[in-house]
Amino acid sequence: MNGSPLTKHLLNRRQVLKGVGVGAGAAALSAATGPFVHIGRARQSDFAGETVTWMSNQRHDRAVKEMLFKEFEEQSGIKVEMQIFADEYNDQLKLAFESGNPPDIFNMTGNLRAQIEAGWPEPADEFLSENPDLAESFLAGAFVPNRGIWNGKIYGLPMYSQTMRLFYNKTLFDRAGLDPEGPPETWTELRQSAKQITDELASEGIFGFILGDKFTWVWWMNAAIPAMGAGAYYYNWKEGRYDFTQDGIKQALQLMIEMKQDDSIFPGIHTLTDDDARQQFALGRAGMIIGGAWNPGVFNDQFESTEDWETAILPVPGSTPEGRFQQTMGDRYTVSATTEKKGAAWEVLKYMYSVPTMTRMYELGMGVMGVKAANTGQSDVRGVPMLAPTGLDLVTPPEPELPTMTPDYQTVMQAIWDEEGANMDDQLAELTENYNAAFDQAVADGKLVKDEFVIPDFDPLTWQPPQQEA
Amino acid sequence: MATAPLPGVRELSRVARPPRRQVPLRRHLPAYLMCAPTVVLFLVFMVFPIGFVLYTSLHDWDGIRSIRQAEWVGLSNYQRLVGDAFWWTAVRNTVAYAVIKLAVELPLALVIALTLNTGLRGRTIFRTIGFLPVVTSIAVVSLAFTFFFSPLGGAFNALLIEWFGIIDRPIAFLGEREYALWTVTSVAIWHDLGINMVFFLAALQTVPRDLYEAADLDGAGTWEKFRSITVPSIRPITAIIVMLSMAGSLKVFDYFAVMTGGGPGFSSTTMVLYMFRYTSFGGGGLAGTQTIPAVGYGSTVAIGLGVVIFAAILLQQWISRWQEGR
Repeated sequence: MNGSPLTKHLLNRRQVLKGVGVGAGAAALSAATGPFVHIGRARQSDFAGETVTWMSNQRHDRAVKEMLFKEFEEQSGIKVEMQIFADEYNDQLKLAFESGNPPDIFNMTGNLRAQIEAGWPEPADEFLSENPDLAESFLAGAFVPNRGIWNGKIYGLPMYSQTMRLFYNKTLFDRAGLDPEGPPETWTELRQSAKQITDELASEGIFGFILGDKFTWVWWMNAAIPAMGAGAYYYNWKEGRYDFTQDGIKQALQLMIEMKQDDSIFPGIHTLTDDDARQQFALGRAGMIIGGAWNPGVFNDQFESTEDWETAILPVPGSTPEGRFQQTMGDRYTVSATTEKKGAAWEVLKYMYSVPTMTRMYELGMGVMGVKAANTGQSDVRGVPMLAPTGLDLVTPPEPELPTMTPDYQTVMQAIWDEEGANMDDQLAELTENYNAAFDQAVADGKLVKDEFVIPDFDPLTWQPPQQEA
Repeated sequence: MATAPLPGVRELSRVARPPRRQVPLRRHLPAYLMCAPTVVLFLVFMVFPIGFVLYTSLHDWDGIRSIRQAEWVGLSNYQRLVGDAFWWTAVRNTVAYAVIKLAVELPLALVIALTLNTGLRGRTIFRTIGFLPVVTSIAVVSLAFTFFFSPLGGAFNALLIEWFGIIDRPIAFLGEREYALWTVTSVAIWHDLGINMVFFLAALQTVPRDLYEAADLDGAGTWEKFRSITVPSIRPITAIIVMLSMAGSLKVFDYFAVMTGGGPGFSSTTMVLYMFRYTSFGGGGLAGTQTIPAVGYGSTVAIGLGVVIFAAILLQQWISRWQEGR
């Protein structure tokens, strides 16, 4: 187990923000910190005086965005007003459009194709062709059919492209007799570490591993994603079929079952939400947790963790990886098709997606950004340096968008875990059948084009997503 | 002298009926105007939504595109519902919840009401205590009981382990398939007990005192008085309480949404929670990472829910009439 490089002075994001806030004015006038920042006198935009609404469901980056928008207003004269919603975001967005009062900029989430067919977002083709540097700055795979491109047009610019990581508590590793600088690199080591922490510290109510699956979607993070390290993607692009029966998926589930049998998993996980589980980790009651690049912000700011935790690459089944872990490509912000402030709205997006702005967001611990050059791996915020994409992260091709499945694969995975795999083969076979039936139905109904989800030469270790060209 | 023939019934009724007079609209205009807000609200918030749900249940609609873009699928959503094993699991869970809740809550509420209807000292305080949960938000109560039943230092587990010594390690009462439904049911009984207690108290106070006095003179005991006077006197109100309680229980959502989210698996999914899975955007966290709603099918689930409630009320009324006829 090798150690992870760490910065010597670990600060939380709040502390960094304070420093940034103080220096914001100076930074605005220093060299490149945004497209409107020039040494000497700031240039006002042609749209100065306009107010643009920004509607989003992202709360973790609110303070940083407020700071950035304030700077932007000073430079351009365009004011940005944020409307942040939580779980009810999609309903609010729909209501805004149906009531004829849509935001000027919004985050496309959920069923993107439906939003496009409903005429909500404005295509970004013209904007990107006018800004070729920006178009080429995004991570490869940002704009491909069914993800970024629909009906031949580009919609939405990806703000985040989150990597998946293991987070571990160095103090608990140390106390359990494990190397605090050597997080587990294989599934065997993960299981052994979880068991050792539990054996040593369970009497204090501390367990080796935690997940909160009151809402079952977390099995995506805790089984479907780890299985990718074994080269098993539940949607097989090579065949253009779902396949939950792959050995890698079974092995990933078996690993979780074995950790349960070892009593290494925090008790009562069905009563915990992902937030509850992250809180327990942040309080030092669990040794390890799997999550996305959004987690450092949650641990540092939401739960103000004082524990000595660190980020590590996800363990793989054997000594060498057989596949790469999914790197998400989401949170696409777009200008509304019906807004009368398109010019000002595009100016806002141009500023937000500029490399300097994106770099600042990465370095402040907001997550992995959709703009490639922003993910520098440099940050003083705890847990952030190791978030930057590595050779083990892959922006996978898009999967078919299916309607709500019952049961969804995550709920079945939870049942398999509960029953300790007693009927795993049958359950996974049935799941495969159901998902393929739904996919076939969507193709038959003309909602999806099957060929768009088939990549005959897809190889989990070598395939690369196409780069967007201006 | 010839007598005129007696008029037949038809003729009599024709004679008896007063001539139809044209009532000027202006005379009843104030009444119409006063009724209008209620009628309009009823049309807008009851008739239109029900009609809309019926319409969408016949379509494949995700709720995002315009309803005009929705695809007509006829009765196929209904066909799917009938064969949907998870829907029937939700129906079973909900009916079990409603039946157990009624079977425990109503007799308990009646016993408490009977006790508080006596000259018990401090009965006003007890009534207030009994009613207090009712005025507390269900979400708050559910959240509080989530902590109470938690395996992580929850008070209930502490009681069972440290005080009673019944178990040696905490149980996730809300996180185990065999316990989740019943744990939530017990919380709902505790919360709703007070309102039924008040209904029964009101009913008991309508029973004439002289009936009991007459029974006392006849030497009737407490049980005879309860069986022969109290029960028949409060039967009509009891029927209403049962109907309201049954309809409310079959629509249960909030307790389960907060405490279990319908899980683990589908072990505590109720009918409304199942509808929410399809109609909400993002499934309220209930539908894995799939976020495409199926509002058309969700509407069909809503109709199914209405049918189950309607059937339950018919059954309850039939039982009620059968009891009256005995």
